[in-house]
Amino acid sequence: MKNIIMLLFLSWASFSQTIESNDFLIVEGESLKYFYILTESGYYISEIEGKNTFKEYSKEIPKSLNVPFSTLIPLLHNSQTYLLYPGGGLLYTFSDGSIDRIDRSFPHRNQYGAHFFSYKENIYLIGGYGYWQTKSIITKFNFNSGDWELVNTKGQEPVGIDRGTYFIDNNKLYVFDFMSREINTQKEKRNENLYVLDLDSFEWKKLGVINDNIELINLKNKGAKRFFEFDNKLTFCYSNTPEFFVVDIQNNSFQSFKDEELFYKSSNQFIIKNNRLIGPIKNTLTGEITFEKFDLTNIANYPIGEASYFFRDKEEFFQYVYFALFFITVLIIVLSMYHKMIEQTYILDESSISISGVSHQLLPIEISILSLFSKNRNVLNSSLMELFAKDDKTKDYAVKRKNKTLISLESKLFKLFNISFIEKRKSVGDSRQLTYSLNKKIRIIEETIE
Amino acid sequence: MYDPIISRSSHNEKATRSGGMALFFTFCICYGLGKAIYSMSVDLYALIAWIFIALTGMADDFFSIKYREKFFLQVFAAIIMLQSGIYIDSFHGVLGINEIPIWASYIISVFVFIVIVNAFNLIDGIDGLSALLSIKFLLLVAGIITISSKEMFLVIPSVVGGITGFLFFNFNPVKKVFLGDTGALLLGSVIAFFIFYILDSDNYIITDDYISRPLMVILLIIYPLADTLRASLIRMYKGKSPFLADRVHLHHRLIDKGYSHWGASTLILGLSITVVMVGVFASSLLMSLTICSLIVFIYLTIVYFIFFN
Repeated sequence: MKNIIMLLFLSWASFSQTIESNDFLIVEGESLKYFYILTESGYYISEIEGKNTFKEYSKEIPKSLNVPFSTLIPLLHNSQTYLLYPGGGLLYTFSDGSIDRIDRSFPHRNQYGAHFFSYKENIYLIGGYGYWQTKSIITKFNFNSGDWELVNTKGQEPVGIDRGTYFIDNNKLYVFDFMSREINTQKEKRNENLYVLDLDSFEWKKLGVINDNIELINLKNKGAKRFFEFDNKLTFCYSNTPEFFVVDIQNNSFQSFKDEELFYKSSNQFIIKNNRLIGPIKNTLTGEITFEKFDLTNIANYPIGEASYFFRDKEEFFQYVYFALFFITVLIIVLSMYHKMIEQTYILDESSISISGVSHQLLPIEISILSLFSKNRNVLNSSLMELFAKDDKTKDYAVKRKNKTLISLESKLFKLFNISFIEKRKSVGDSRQLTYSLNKKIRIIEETIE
Repeated sequence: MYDPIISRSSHNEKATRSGGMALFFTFCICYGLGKAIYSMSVDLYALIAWIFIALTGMADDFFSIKYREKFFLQVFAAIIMLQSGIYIDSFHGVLGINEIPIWASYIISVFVFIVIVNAFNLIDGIDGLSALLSIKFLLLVAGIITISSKEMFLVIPSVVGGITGFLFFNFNPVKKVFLGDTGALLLGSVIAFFIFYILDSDNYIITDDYISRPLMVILLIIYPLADTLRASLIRMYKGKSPFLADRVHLHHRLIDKGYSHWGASTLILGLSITVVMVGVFASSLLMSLTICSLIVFIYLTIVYFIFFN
């Protein structure tokens, strides 16, 4: 672990540049050798290898640019740097040391937190938050008229996309981990699905739920999310944790990594240049801002976990289907065991015996006999004899009547339910004493009338 | 609350109609806990519709309300459910129709809701049948829901758990409990909502690559649909009201053939699972809705003549 941290430390510690302003914007620039840091007073040309040159703007900054530089959204499109006013609307270019406004629009204030991107020859702004609602609109800048045009979309469009994580792969724009609010009385709610927008047909498609193991946006850490494309994969992380994620959307997999250095400590302003992530780090003691670089070629070398699915898809679906079939099978087995246990349960009331909706009338003496078996599975002959004993009759008469009734009852029940109910056997303690036992499979429950 | 024993009854033990209420209260408790702990969530209007339909069922269980009143309340519940924004907005290629106008969506959705809710109520004629078929539907649909909506997915285990607990009492001859109208209507409305979810074109349904949504939905509830349709046609053929309660259902045939309630219910469950498998298998191989429907129809005819004729 020490070696990993050391390696990571060395990869960025060899480079550091300092600026004096607290309000700045780091932009990629058209060259691979340097990048720009724009401030209100001028701009720095920062060479990758370390040299920092300050220059004043060749022209005065447009008066409409009345917001902090750090709130502007930069975009490099066709070797030209564009700067978008927060919330959309005003658009500037930065070239040849000057900032120029190129739009004929107004501050829209409709798409704060939107994603500014380019595709083919156009630049677009998607999603955001404005006028108390989250937006999923797409606006395209018309270079001829200088206006922003609303792009019509179709399909399974999300309700709103505020602070989303975006990734463009060929003609597909993927978006996930965003907040939505349909009406302004609602709380913002995190959408857990992955969405994809076809940038040619502008058709939305909703995909599965993002893997639970990815720690997604936390409301307490608004805006502290960073994402970028590297090596045709999406990399993203949050400022509240040193963990970051590399997503391979094509193969629907992600892996988490840990970085104790730049990702964790830098702000959410950064650029990717020559396989390096360059971002500012503020010294909490001196307040000094330095620009550090981080070699991205090393980032995927030290995963802290196994690769897992990124969004729920067919594999997870089939796993679930197998589970569902297994569950149904287990449920049927358990229920059939339970049913087997209770299937020979007979209900005895004052005139009949019944099971599963089938009921048969019995004689009062037969009810009395079965009632004894409902209280005790083994009934002594003497107990049965009590039912037949009469003062004016002999004991022999009672015995004959008991035997006849029992044979008749057993025969009747066997005919009705196709199972033997009562068995006669000698008592274990006294072989002269007879015991009548209820078939082990049978249960008789006496229903009392309230 | 005791279910009266009448000529149509398939029981002669004392039994209460409290199963549905137990299921409803179980679901309410689970939903409260799930919402607090696991962010379980379903659209508020759907929840209101479920509660409303459960209360309608309770009123019927306690006071036996008239069919017309019940029908009106069901329509009202369906309209509440439509407010969730989840309804049938497309035919998904059936008869060559895809998107349909909003007014047609509403009418069709209300009709489907009424049919499903009453179909699940009508098949609740023997022990375990309605509950087992509901479990089958919910478990299979849960696979689709878990892919596209984590929060809504949690509704399913809470309902399935409640039904599973109920089944042990439903089959118990001593402490027999029936779903009652509360349970049957509640399960029907929950199932109707998930059917709306599948047929709503805004939702991501992972099975789209394998089977047409309408065909899948019909296969998932084939028994309640086929039985209700058949029973209604027979009644109308005999010049009776299609809503008349009698013993012309397919499950009554099995009972009359000597099957126990358990045997008949599990047989119908098994057969309805095989119908889904046949449909999915045929659809993933052929991907032609007409041919798949024909194969399923042939399979159903064979099943009918083997088991029910």
